[in-house]
Amino acid sequence: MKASDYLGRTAHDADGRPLGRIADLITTTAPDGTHYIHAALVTPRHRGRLLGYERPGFHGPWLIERIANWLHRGTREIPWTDVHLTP
Amino acid sequence: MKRLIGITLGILTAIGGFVDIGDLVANSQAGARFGMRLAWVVVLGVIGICVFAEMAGRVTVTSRRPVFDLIRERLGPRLGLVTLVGGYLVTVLTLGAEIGGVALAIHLATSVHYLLWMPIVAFVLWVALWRVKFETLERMFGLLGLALAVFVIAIFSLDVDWSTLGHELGSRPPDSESWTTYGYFAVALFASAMTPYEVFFFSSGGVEEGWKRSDMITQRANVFIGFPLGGLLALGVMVCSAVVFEPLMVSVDSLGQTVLPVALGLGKLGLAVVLLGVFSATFGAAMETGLSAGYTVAQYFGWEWGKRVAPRQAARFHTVVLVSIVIGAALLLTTINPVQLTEYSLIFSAVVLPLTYLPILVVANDRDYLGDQVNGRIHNTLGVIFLVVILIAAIAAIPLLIATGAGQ
Amino acid sequence: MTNHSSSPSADTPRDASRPGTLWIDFDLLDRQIIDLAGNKLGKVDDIELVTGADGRLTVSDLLVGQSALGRRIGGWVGRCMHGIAERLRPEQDPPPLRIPFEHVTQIDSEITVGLRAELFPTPPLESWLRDKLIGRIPGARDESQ
Repeated sequence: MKASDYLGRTAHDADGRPLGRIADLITTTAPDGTHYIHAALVTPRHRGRLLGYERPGFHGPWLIERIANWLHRGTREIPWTDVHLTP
Repeated sequence: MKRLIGITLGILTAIGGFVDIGDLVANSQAGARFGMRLAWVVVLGVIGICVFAEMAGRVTVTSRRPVFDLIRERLGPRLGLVTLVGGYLVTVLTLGAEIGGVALAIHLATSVHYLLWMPIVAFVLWVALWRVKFETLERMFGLLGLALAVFVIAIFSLDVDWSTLGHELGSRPPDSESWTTYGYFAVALFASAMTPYEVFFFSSGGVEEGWKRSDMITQRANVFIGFPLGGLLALGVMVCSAVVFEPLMVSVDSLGQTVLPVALGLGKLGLAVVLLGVFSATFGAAMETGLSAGYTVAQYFGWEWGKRVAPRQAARFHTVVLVSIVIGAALLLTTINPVQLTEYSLIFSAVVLPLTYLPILVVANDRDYLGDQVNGRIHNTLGVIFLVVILIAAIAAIPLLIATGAGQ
Repeated sequence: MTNHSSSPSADTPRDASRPGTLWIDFDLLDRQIIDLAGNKLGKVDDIELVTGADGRLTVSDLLVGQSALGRRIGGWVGRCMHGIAERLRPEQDPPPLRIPFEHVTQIDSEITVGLRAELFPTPPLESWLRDKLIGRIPGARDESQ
């Protein structure tokens, strides 16, 4: 599978309810040094790439940050084990 | 002199934004029809391009990333592609116009029809971009373009009524003009001051020159001397035209008329210098747009680019430059007016301007890129204000173009 | 493999609040890939993910090339890009350039790979233009600097 096969797809919870679209895949490091996906960033209104304001510690010009946060409101991290690609 | 050589990148970039072929005529037209009433737009444009070029330069100095890398990274491949296509079209239309402008300048000096000069100009341009060192090109045409300072010198030998000009600053359009033509010229002058290829060229030029963190001062000097200098030359053109043509109610639509006030003020020698200036400025702008066309495409796709590597190692980049020159020259051989061509490029500019400047502003706040060199409060306030102005200009551009029939 | 937390180089201070994590779309996709000497290998046009023996979805390779990019862009534009890339390749079903993720040595404003660019095949469009056009023009081998 390619990253582009996941990004933009609708994620569902265990009961088949849609959670939103996958905006990003977040990895963590395994003991052997490989990176594996441990969570997905899910957003209810996907509009292309997120500008980066979801990252901790990133602040832009106040106005643009506000607009970006508003456009991407409701964006949250869902553990990868809880993400189902089909309902 | 050494200091001056260090800032030729900024000067050459500014020439492409303020006194290339389209701007020479547009500033002259604005002076003839509106006097100094639109001078504030040039000043606004200088501040706007300084704000964003400085941010782009700071990103380049700290991370070695040129502007188009940021565009694809922040906007993603699709919106990045839209910006690429729009930006490329503006750049190639302008490139065509500049090749025509160089030919027109030689035509004024030799009386041989400009279309005959076109293929020669296009070929010489390509050879220069193929063979000559980046720094050599930048220094030669950056410094020679300063010959346009004769427009500023000519003002003092013309009979100028300073109080009338002073009163025109910031006043409403004259009775002979409407607010829509005023708006059209304002947007055209502002958009050309902020043309996207300036930041593409400036940041890529910084990478070509191998800017490091220690070059922050060089970068700032380029921005804060280069662009105001370009703006000053543009204002010189406007004043000359306002003094000579406005009282006579003569409209300006050709390069021959643009340089006339210098000939009136300074005689034959002045005319020779101004023709050299026009030649160098348009040739410099042709190099800027020719290279920018290659830079943007190569940077979008991640290809090897630039003049630091042998052309064989950057075959795709050099092909794009070559093809762009051919397209630009071919456009001109359809006998389309080179000056009008730059006006049409405004349409594409409108779409691209916000998409070009938003990623720069966002990345300039990213500590992963800039560390402690991120934007401060003043940078951000100015950045956001200008982004709003750019957005307004972008939205207004096409309706104004249609409503006025390109400023008629 | 160094990443955000473990490579606090002087040029790009990393964000300490994200130890060992990467955001695939944000940190990797569409970034410039260079080799140790600074030669450009392309952009991260897509990323191959494989499910390991432990069931974890692991980052395996960076994919580079217009065919991978065309797939991501989609629509007729994407198909055109993909189509052009395919026509230029000698093989029938061309794979994109794969860079195994374990060779990535640094991730910041660019992605550095600890291998020389010469080890990878020249991209088809580059070699085609080099052979057919640019390489035939006098002076193509000279650096102008």
